[in-house]
Amino acid sequence: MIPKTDTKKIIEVSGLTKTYTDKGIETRVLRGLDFTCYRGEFVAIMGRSGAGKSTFLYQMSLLDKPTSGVIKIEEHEVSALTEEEQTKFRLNKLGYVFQDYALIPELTAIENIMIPLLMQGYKTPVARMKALQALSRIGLEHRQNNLPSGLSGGEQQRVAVARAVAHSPEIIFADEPTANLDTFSGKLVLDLLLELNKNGQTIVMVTHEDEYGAMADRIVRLSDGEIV
Amino acid sequence: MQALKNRAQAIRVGFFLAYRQIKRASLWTTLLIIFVMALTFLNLVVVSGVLVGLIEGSVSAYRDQYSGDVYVKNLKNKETIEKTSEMSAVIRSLPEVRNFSVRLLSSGTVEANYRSRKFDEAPNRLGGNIAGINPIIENETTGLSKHIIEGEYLDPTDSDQILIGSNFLEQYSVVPDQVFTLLKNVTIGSKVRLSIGNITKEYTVKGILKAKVDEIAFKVFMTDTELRKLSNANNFDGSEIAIFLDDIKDADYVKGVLINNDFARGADIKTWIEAQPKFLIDIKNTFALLGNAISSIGLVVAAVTLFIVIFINAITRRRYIGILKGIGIAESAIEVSYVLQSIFYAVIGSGVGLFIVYGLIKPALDKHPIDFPFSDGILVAPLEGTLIRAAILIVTTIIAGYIPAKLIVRRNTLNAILGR
Repeated sequence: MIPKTDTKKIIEVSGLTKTYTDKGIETRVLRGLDFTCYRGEFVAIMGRSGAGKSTFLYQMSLLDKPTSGVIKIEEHEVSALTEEEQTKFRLNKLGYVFQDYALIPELTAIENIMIPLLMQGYKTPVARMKALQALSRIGLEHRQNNLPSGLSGGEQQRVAVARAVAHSPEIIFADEPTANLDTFSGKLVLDLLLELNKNGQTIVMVTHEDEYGAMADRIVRLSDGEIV
Repeated sequence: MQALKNRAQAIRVGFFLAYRQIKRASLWTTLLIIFVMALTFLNLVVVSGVLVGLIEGSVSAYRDQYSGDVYVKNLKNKETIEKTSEMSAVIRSLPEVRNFSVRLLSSGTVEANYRSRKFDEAPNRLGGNIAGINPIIENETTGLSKHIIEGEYLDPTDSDQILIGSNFLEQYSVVPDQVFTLLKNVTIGSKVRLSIGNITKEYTVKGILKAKVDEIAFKVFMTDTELRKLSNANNFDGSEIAIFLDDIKDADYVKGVLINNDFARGADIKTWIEAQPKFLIDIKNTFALLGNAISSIGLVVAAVTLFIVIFINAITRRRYIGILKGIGIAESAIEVSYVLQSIFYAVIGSGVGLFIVYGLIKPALDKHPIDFPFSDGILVAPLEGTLIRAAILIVTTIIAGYIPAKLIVRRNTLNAILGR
């Protein structure tokens, strides 16, 4: 049994700021955040709408460039990487679950999961097998050949979770993964994340639902771009 | 090595994405793009092909109906080909030669209405070329008799009868008669007067010839024996020899044989290519240039069309492109997927175009050439040139597909995902 958390830092954020400029007007969304996440930890980022939760997640997950500050993942200063290097880093180390599932509409459930695996260099049969294993873990192997349009919202989000974990990332970032789901489907997705975390998966999840936040190991609250 | 591996990976993933995008795209959209590509291909090949074919048809007709594959003519300062008989003997001995015809040419005038015209009326007279032929040999060689549209073909014994080209006759003229004087009321059985130098003789029109080759349609034909009498020729030399071969590729060889036999001293010996009238070559080159210019415009239109199609496709899929980048798919893989889609459309479009050109248009035009006033227009589309055009289309499409993909893919990942 893998210990659920250890003391090894996996994410270190220091002095993180993000400022958007629109028509000369500056909006400071993140105001010098310091944050640490340990390997195997399940962290929920919470706060009111506009607090900067998603923006914080985007910076940590390398989907966006911070205005200033340093982000380290596994002691690598990833905020200094080039765009190409960040893409490669995301492929190998990070997994994503987006609020609205974000599956590619022309790809079937299994193909959506295969894509990152193929990019990692797995041969097609191996990628297919791994993708099928991931689908089995979420109980959707019978829906493998369905296009996203043929899946329910809950099923789509579970496929998105399977895609996020199939390539064995170090960290999963989930941006309000239950926001578009009914209670039952939301619970299924969260149970899935909890189970992954139980097996040692580091998860950083943005949510505004206290019930789900409470299931995490730790809650980080944001207010006006600051951790409170 | 790593870079090469990354590139191979990008191509593999790009193919995976492209294949599925095409497979699951709207059938009508796919057919529309292929249709545009096929039309562009046809525009590239057919427009210039027909323009060149227009002249090529004329050149072919000149070769098939008049000059032959090797054409021997008198030198400019001589009236006839020297040693015509010896040359004929050599030509006859060559196994490559299928047929040949020796013609005697002379300039003269043809006059109609001399019997009925009034005192103050101008003579209806026209200058032109008169050819003396052996009717049987000429017909075997060039099929001259098939151009008879009225009357009958010549017999070797016809001493007072002639064939007259339709371009001499007013009733066949397409040009208003105030521009050129033509012979009026000349039909089968009409009497005309032929004059060469100071010798004039009356002949009966036995047949009227109509052809798109001016050398036939604007000529008077009579037996060579009769022309020798009329022109007071005192030997058996001819003015031109049309040599037809079993294989056109032997033209250079046969020409070489005649030159090696020292006949070039007394004759101008040319292959059919060299014998083409210069103005035809000039027009052919001009039309080829025009065709290429028109085709280039078509190519630009196709490139812009595909650019727009791919751009719209990429921009409406911007969010998914962002997601792909977000989950770690390299930009190059996404670009490759769009380039491969472009290649698919271009290759299928060109394939459809190739089928239409070689399976439908070319066989149809070969069988039923376009009836232009001065030639039977065919489609000139050599496979090599057509494949080059297909390659140009594919390369253009690749560029037209790559640029919009690049423009969209390089956008900020998060902005693409959030659609802002």
